[in-house]
Amino acid sequence: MSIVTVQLGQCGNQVGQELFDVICKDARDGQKRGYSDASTARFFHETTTGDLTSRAVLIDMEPKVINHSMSKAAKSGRWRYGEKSHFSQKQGSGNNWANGYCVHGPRHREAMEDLVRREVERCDRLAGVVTMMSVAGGTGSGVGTYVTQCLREVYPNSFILNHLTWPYDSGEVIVQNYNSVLTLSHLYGLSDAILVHENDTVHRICAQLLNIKHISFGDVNRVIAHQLASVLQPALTTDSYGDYSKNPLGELVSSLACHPEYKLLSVCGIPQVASSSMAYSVFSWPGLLKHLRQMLISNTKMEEGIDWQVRAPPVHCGGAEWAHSFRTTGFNRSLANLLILRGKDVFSAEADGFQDAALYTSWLPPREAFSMWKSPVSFNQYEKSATLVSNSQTLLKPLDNMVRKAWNMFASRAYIHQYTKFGIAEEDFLDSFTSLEQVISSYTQLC
Amino acid sequence: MHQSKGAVRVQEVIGALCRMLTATGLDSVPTPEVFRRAKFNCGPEVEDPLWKLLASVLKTCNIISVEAPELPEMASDHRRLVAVGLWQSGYHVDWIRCVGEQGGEFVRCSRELLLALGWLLATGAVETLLAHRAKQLDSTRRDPAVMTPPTVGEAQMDRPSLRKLQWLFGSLRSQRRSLLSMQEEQSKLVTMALSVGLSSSSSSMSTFVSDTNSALQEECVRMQDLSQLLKSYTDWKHTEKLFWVWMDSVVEGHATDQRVACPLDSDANASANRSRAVCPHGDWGLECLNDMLLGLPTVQRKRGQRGEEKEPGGRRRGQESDDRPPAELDGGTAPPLPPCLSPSAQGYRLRLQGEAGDPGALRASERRRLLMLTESSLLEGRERCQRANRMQFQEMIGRLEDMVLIAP
Repeated sequence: MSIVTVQLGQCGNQVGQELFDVICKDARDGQKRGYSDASTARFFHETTTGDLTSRAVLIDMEPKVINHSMSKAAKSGRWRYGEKSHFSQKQGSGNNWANGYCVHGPRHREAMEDLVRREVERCDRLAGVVTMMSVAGGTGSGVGTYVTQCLREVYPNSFILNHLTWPYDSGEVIVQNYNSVLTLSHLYGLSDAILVHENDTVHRICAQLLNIKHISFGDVNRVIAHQLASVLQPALTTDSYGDYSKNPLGELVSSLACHPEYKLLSVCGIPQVASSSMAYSVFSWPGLLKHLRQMLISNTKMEEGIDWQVRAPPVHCGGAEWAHSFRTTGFNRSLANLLILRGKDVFSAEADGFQDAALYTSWLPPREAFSMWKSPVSFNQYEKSATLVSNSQTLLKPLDNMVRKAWNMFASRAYIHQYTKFGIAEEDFLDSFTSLEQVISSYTQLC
Repeated sequence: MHQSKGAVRVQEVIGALCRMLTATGLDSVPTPEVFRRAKFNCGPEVEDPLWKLLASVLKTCNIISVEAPELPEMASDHRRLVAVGLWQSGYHVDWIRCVGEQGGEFVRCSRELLLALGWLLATGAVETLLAHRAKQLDSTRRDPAVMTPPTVGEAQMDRPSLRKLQWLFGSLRSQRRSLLSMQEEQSKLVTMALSVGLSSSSSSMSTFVSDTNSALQEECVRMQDLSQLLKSYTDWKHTEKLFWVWMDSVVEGHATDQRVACPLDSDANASANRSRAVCPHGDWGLECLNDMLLGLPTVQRKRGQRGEEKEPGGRRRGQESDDRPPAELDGGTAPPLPPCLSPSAQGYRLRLQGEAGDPGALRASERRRLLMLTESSLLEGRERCQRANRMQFQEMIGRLEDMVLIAP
């Protein structure tokens, strides 16, 4: 089963190019034949000459980033983008969601749909579509939202996973919070699951774990690509009957995002070490899983600075008692978790700590809330790696910040005219705020 | 006219059942006429097909594992084995309990066999047969994952239960999409294989093509059979309710029989009558009153619904009025039947269970006590009805001039 990736805007195209790079290297470098074939078939189309062409569509309203991504891919010598698998314009979206959603999207709908359809038709079986975009700008957020809407109409039965990059809290785009709110509120009704990476978190990983002194967007994108690839690469699942899963997106959605009010997924992976330190690092499954569990419940997004004082409260204390425990101890309640283990001796790894009922909400028992995938093949040069995709309160605070800032601007109607001139009314903003407040409320009351 | 129309409906319903059973691959499915005649105990020519059908159903459901004999009549030993299979399926009636005690020729009347078949159908044999056949026809079929529904209490649904249901609904939706995707892939592959077969003209591929063609043809035939199976099951489900109404009439007819053995001759009838010490002239007055009282609850409901006068008589004991469709199918406004009488598989089972009892769980003395309690409550109910009716008669007579009611 194949996944078609739609890369939107500058961020989406840059992260997408890094993603295919990681996947191709991981699939090809000394891996077992079955894993390699499964990965290649999932993400690439093999030409008659043996060249790998990614199952990707590149969309941007400016040509520069797409050209750069395509040439970088071609230079790798391992894979490339399809020659005609891209669409670009010349003028950009001006960091304006409304411009992307109301103008560029509808104007170029047919061309973009054609590109996606061509890729879908080349798949024997479509596992689903992954869209990659940021929420801060105009093309990724606005056009990306419009494209997602079109995909939902054209492929109503396909799984759509939106990968979103949330901007730095102190971002450069003054209206990034508007764009973010409008994107998230619309995607919530269209997408099956929304997988989020925060630039701030990834930046800290680059600084503190990878010891990168001058962090560039390329470094950030590589970390995002590594974590995303660790989720999407083939793995053995409960439903795959001893073979690599042919329905990764469906199983991911079924494991984590069955409820319409809870679709936000965060990703957390360990270990993350600098390549220079890799040779000197030895990891054990119990150690990795212990750290990952504590990262989950203490809402720590990387291995460093884990708060070991946080404990899971007694099983299902509800109401005020629960709220008190959350505020005072910083415990992060989960709705569902998916643990993906890759590497040596993976079948000896025991994840009992993640099956503790105290970690989860009362109405979903651990046997339904927790899933585990395994792959006996090491991933991206890490002998052992564990990735946790979590539907929990992790993103509650950043989401709340985002909505709060957007509301503060909206209250004074700052920059609203930039949106209304493209057809977005104030009521649309209010609807978006209402939707997201509901999401915030749902996650806040997760107990 | 009304009865013949009902008889036609029953014929159609039983025909749907027979077609469905045939589609499931059962060997010995009788004709609808056999079913109809079986209700009236029409002898061995009706009993043997039913024995074979029972054996076939039990074998397919893996309750017994002996091949049905090829002989036109089933041997007595095989019949005993079928009876044991029925017992194991939970059909605990007296004639099965006594199967070990009966020597020589093991004979049961066709109505009893029909009831036993009804029991098997009501306990899910249809679905078992369907699944078995579907698995034979479609080897790629995967058994659906069984999801445990949330244990929602009888109290109103609370927020956590609602959220759990929403989660389960979402999970089912995801499963549906995954299955649709699998189906699309299968279709694509079949299309590709067909196009390869049609477009290929190379001699070196002729063997492959012919093998592929024959495999595809077999697959086509299997898919056709599968479609036929599903269609026949759908048709059956549309008419199933009528079937259970008809089976209720079979149960009632069986319940009114005073004998355990099948009446093979008139001497048995006469001896049975003598054992009951019935007056040779009959008890005409009591019978009339009983008929009137039995008919009254139905009549009263009809009066309440339609405001019509009471109909004389009503259903008489032994009258074969069962082939009429139920009032609700006439478009009448009869109130809903109590659960034990509702025309459904479950209602049928309840009634059979009420008759068959559960000897494994109850001792004879306890059964006798329960029966006595039931009898007394029924008698009380009858007395209440009689008193109410007497009051009504008196009121009616009071309104009529020059008439006096002499109570019986």
